[in-house]
Order: sequence, then C-alpha cells, then structure tokens
Amino acid sequence: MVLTDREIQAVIQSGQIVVEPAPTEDAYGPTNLDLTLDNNIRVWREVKVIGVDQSVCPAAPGYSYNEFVKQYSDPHEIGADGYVLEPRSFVLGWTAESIELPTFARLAARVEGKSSLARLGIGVHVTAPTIQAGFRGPIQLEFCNHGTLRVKIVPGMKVCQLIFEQTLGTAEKGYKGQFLGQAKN
Amino acid sequence: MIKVSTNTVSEGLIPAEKIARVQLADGQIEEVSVSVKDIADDKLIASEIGRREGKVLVELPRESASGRWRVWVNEKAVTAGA
Repeated sequence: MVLTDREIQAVIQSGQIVVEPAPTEDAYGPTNLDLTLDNNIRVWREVKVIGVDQSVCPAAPGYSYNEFVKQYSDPHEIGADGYVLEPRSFVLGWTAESIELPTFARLAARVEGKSSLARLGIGVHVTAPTIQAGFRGPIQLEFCNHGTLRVKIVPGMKVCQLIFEQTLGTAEKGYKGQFLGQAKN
Repeated sequence: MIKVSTNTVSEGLIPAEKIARVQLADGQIEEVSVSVKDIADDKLIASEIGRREGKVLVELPRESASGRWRVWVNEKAVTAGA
C-alpha cells in the first residue's frame, strides 16, 4: 500500500521515517514527498581514444566502482547559477535530504522523477528506484538528459519524489534485529 | 546488528558517504558505498542473516559495487553489536 501525505507525515513524526532536514509543508503531494537537489554533483568525463576500446564490467573480480568513478569523473559544486545538463549528458547527483528507513518500520520507498523535469527530457534515476528498508543516507541520483534541450538544474530545486510503500512483513535482518539483546528465558 | 571487519574504509563521493571494502570468505574483496552512519570503528554495520560452517551470511547496508546485497564472510570477521 502506498502512503498518503497524512500517513507520511505521521510516520515522520513517530520516527518511523527520518528525513533531515525535515521537509517543509510544501514538500508533500497526495502520495509523495518531494526532495531537493544537493549542490554536489559528479560529472563523467567523455573517454574517447581512437583505436582504444574501453569498457567497464561490474562483475569482474576486484572491480572497484569507487576507484573507477574517481578516475573517470570530476566532482563539481553547483553554484547559484546552476549547472547545465547538455543533451545526452549523464551526471551523478544527490538529494540534499538524508533519509532513514528503519527496517522495523516495515516501509520501503521508490525514488521517482518529477514531471517538471521529465517533460524536458531529464531522468533522475536509471532503473534503480528502490530505497530498501534499512536504507540511510542521501539518495544518489543519476541524471540523464534524454532530450534535445539544454536544461539547467540548481541546488535546492525539487528534483525527485519519494513514494513510500508498506512492506508485507519485516525483512529478515529487521526480524532478527528485534530480538537482539533479549535474554533467553 | 553486527560489525564486519573491513580491509579499508575510505572517503566516499560526498561527505555523507564512506567506501568500505570487505573480504569475503572466498577471499574476494567486495566494495560497498554506505552512509557514514554505517561505519563504526572502521567496521561496517550490517545484518546477520545466517551462519554455516564457520561462515556468516551478511546483508550489506546497500548494494555492493558488483550488485550483491548478501555475502558470506568468515566468522572471525564478525563481532556482535552495533
């Protein structure tokens, strides 16, 4: 079941979901919570060397995404004037808000785009929308400009939305966690 | 919750994240980008799912670089509590 705005507010108030900084009243929709863009992004470099065939394989033993991303992308801090997503460009970003979904809360979430950006050709995630029960931290976004327009993004803008869903039961790790520290009778 | 020994813990792409590298029971190294809150004393806070033959099935806080959520590690790499 998808949570409505009133239910989202209730679970935040009860501590079942943690959002920092706390969302303002205008961040809610009927069944969603809007999140905003942080000022840190990561811009992939275009790697083009004639005659050299380069590929990346996450399944390779010892593969380090961290080393790869640091070698082939550059950190960039978006100023007040924003950052322009060129057509067919791809950059990593994060939400300004940090989220915690404790496993005991029996909630998971999906990060989804905003139609205000989608209609310009901007996707904010690439087929990985699930925020698992137990997640904590800012949400990484994968910006892809599928359109033909140059689109500017600015820190603090509403950039994505969370849809909260109640899970059927508690995940294994949450179930075991409930009994940690309890004495055996 | 449990704590899993790490080979290294390094800075993530943003201040709110760390990169932890964990040695698996088969010797492979698994890398996972996590919240700074998932690291304590250079150990990774994770969840135990099960145990078998000296190994612990651990659920990572996030999907690893190779796409895994659950990995087998040696019991010696695991301590109780978080």
